[in-house]
Amino acid sequence: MLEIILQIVFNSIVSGIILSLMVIGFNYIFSVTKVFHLAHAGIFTLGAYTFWQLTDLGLHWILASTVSLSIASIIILFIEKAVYSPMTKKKTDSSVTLIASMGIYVIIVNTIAMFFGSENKIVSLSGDTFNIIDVIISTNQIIQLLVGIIIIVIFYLGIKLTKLDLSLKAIANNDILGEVYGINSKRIRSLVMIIGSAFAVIAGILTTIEIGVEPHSGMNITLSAAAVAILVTRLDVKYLTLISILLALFQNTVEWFLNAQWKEGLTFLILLLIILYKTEGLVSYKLRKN
Amino acid sequence: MIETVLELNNISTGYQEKIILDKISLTVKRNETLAIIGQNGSGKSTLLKTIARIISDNSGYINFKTEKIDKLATHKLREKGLSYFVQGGLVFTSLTVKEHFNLAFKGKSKVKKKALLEECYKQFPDLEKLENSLGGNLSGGQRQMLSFAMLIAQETDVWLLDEPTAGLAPKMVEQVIDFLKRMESKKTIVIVEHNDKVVGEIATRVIDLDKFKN
Amino acid sequence: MNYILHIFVLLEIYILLALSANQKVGFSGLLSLAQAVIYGVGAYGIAIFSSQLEIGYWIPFILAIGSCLILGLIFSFIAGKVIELYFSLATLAVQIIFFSVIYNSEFTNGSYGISGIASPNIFGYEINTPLDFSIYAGVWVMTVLIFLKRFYSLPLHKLIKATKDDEIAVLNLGKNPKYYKRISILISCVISGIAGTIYASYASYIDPSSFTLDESILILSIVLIGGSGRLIGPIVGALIYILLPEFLRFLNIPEMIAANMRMILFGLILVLIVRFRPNGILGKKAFR
Repeated sequence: MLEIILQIVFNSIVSGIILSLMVIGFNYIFSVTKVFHLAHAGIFTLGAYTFWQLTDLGLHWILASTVSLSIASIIILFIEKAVYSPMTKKKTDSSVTLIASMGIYVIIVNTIAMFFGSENKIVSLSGDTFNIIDVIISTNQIIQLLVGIIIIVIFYLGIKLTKLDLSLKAIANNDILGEVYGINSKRIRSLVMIIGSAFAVIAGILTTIEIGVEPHSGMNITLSAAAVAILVTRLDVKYLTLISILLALFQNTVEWFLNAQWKEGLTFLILLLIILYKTEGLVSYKLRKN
Repeated sequence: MIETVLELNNISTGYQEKIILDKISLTVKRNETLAIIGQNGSGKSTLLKTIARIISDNSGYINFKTEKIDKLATHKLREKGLSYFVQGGLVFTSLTVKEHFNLAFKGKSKVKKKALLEECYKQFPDLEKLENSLGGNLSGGQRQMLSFAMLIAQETDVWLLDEPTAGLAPKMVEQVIDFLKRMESKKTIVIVEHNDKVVGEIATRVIDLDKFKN
Repeated sequence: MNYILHIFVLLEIYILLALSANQKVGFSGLLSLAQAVIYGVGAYGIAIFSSQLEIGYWIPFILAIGSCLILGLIFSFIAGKVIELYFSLATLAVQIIFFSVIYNSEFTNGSYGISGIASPNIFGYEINTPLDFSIYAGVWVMTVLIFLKRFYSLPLHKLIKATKDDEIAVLNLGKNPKYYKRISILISCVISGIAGTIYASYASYIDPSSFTLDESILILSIVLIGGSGRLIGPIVGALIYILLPEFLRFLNIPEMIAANMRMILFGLILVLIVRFRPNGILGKKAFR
């Protein structure tokens, strides 16, 4: 029993870190731009497929990742400038922007399916596994864990050191006031779109090296990320990572004892109850009520 | 030396199709304190928002110092030396007082930052104790103090103030008057105000928008 | 011939689904992402009740529609608690929970689905062939259209529309906005439920893959593309959706690509519509 628990905990930390990447990207995009960006799922898949295709053609993984990140950046910038930003400017309600985002998702996923087919793509780096106190660990999981943690730490320190976190929080809070205090809100929006998408691309790449990716596989992880985004309205990398790992732990436990499909159902049952009874999110700022 | 800092030429502005101000022209000279008064709905706030480029689809043109600012985005105005006190003293609910200042100090040297922070706390000693409180946890009065301190922190020389004393207790209104009097000689101020006392004590010139209208 | 009739039945089913979604989106401003849930309850309802009870077609039919109404009450409860983005997200959650339930439960036979679903029986005549079904579905489409046409002239409908535009104004009239949302949702549920029963009997086999989030998005986009808030909109939307692959076939685009191409074009039109004409999708209150 103990080894099962340890195994679940280890797996959850790994999948939780990958989920964190999706969560951080999704959350920052949602807070800053107010776009409930479900097309994030498409960017995840896009990144994974570009990486798969390029490594398949023999490119080194560093080059393949760089190209994947660049392509995703160009596409997301186009989406922001052509769709999201003008819609926000017209003060379109977030639920309508959400529909636009779903349309974009449909376009991306079907384009990928049209060119690459719908079968699962795996980039096999290593098939090795080893045991530490009865927990089976694969080399790929170690890669996922390390890359994920490094990316999160770089982002965390990066926005702190450059004071970008202040601008991000300010624009997320009130974009007009941010402009009044000299922040270029359009640039912050584009920046957060690119950084957020980079997170999705990295999550996609990390998923291709372990379980593989098919055109629709971005949606489930994005929905989980969206669930965390609703739960935690606070822009805090530490909290977001912690809650992601906890959610992964919950999902993996459900998966182990019931089966894989119930995990989405149960996650969203909890989410539904939270939406209905505590719309402001669980971990938000403790503000004095007026 | 009398120098024109701000010049509005034939400005018509409003929201979407609704024109609130029609063909307004006015000039503001360096270091004067211009009070804009008028009934509710006369377009006082709209005028400030247009100058601050929050409303941007106006006709006519606006000169600030030596250049036209019609095509500029709001965030560009700070570096040109213009600050805007938003009605109600809006602050960022999720940033602490200290973080507000850090935002305003962006791009300034360490020495400069320290001096400005000292100046802010000298003018508003209460804020020093609230350094680590979130904007969302400040009282209405404290928010307004923070908004004033932000004007100093940004180190600009032209201030647009949109009803800075609205909702304040009389004692605090006195504080605001004192503060503005201290600043008056160094700053060019355009203030929209309902409170006659404030207008009477600080304004060097008054424009009544209601009279402008007919 | 059978192929044309098959297309025709699908068209009729999608017209019903779109009319149902239009009632919610077009007249109540409720952007639900769970359109396929009620459709699924109708389909699974007729499949389960008719096989378990073995008492002909129509009692299970009524039970199936009744189940849809119960779910409708849940949706109206949600609509009463949260609005706009959070309503959409709550319905998104319901959609995913529903899929999880039908995919994992024994009574829906999980991913294997249910086969051998009963057909409607009218005075001893069993609806069976594609021709029968195209007429049967056609009768339902006509019935629903006539009902809606009449309903739109009622004062009740005006109040439903008023609730979409300005809830406060309705409140000031001394009326309860939640009530009008509920009526709208319940009407929508009955129509979706009917579409579900027709689909289940026609296909005689259902599985969870017909009631996914993608299906919900598809139904919603049919309404938005056709133009929400009018009776003709859903019909136009459904026509575009059903005829698009035929058009692609005409252009000699291979079947495999055509399926993806249809969704790409659909997604594109959807994005263009919400991007350039977002007004009117929600009520005016959303634009203040």
